[in-house]
Amino acid sequence: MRNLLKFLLRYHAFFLFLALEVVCLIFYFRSAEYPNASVFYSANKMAGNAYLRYSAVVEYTRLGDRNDSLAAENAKLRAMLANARMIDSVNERCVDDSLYRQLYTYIPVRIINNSVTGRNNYLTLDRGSREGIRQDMGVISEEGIVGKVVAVSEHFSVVMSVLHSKFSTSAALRPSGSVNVAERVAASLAADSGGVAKTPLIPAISGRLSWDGKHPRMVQLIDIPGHVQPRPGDEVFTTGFGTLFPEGIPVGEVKEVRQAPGSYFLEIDVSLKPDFSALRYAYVVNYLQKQELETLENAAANDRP
Amino acid sequence: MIDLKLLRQILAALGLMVFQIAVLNQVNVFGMARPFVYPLILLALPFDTNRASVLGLAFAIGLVLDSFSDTPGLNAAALVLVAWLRPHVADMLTPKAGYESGDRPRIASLGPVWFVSYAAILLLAHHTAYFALEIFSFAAIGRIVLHTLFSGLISLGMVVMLEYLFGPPLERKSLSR
Repeated sequence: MRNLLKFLLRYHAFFLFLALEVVCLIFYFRSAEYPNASVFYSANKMAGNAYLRYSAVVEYTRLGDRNDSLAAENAKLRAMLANARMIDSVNERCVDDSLYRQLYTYIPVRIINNSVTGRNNYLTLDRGSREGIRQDMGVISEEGIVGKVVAVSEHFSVVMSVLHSKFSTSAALRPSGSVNVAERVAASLAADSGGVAKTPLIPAISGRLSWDGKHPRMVQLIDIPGHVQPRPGDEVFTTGFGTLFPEGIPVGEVKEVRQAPGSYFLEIDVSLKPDFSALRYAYVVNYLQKQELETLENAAANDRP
Repeated sequence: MIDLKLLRQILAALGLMVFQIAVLNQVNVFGMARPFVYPLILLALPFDTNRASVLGLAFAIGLVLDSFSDTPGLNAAALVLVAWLRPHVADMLTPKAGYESGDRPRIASLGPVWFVSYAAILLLAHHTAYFALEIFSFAAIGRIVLHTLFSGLISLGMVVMLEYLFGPPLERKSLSR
């Protein structure tokens, strides 16, 4: 016993080193496996408030950019107003707006901490559970998708960025390489029926979006079948599958298309629309039927043999 | 007098941490080089500092940095490794005549060559641990090495620069080494 004590005392620095390393590694790998509020300090009061002050200082240097993007968004919204449109076709069906029910609401938030340099990046928002933010809500900016909420405290919340090894969502594109085929089919159909060929809408092909960690403005769209012909410049947008994002939120555009090694599927580099390092404002997406959808899906998953 | 010195050291350490969090954590050169200068806090501690307290200090500093970058345990793990390696690296680099009492691990005391090799080895250890844990994939081992080398070079340059700018004034004897 005395020898053991002596041994421990003699090498106490080494044992302390081992113990501290084990604690650090447990912290680190637990947070990577199960990101939640207990491991994210920046949702805490201290770090959260520090970042709030810091972002208030930095913001002054970006007021010009901010004005420009707000003006651009205003213009876009103005274009969507009813008085900016007219009916250009007698075929168009009249749709009564009151038939629609609200399905998504948006909570405007300010981004007070943001990283794009790591392999696993997070953002901190200045709103929390008090303003109705819950875990697993999607986050979008005016330019495209940003991530999903992983931890919420009373006044702050932490968002897993699209630039994270565990982030994945479904996204789709309309492959413009298929235009010629679609046009030929439409022309031959029109010739058969004696009508005029209408430009057909190319169907959206959906795949899975994830990030390989190489470049902070380039994410990868995978599981797109090999017969599809996307071309650089094609828009990539969300599909509305799952509960994170509404349909049709932009993600970015196709940059490069590769055959995934040893596979029939394509791997597509998508350049992100928003510059993540310059994000300051965003919206948290509140999907109002989320609970119902999740209850149903869980019940279906449990019933499966 | 001693308290004043201690106060200065604590202020310098806080300054380095703020610099790291507010400025360097936002830096990413060509998507691969990310400088870390906060290990300098540990590098500059006197040789006779109690080993256990250096380890504890490293753990605490690491956790503070982690809390500001949402990487629980990552900076702490890398910094605790530096704290443990520190005395061993110092032993390895013992000058021919041995250390004299009053020697400090600073350029002012042991000269630039000694300090650069000391800092290079410890920064390399820190960056290797950091990027290996962060990327954590055998398939991406090339990227780990690339990140480590590029970031290490920039960090080393900044650490040496900070040491010249804010370190203790040069003593005459360091020039002879």
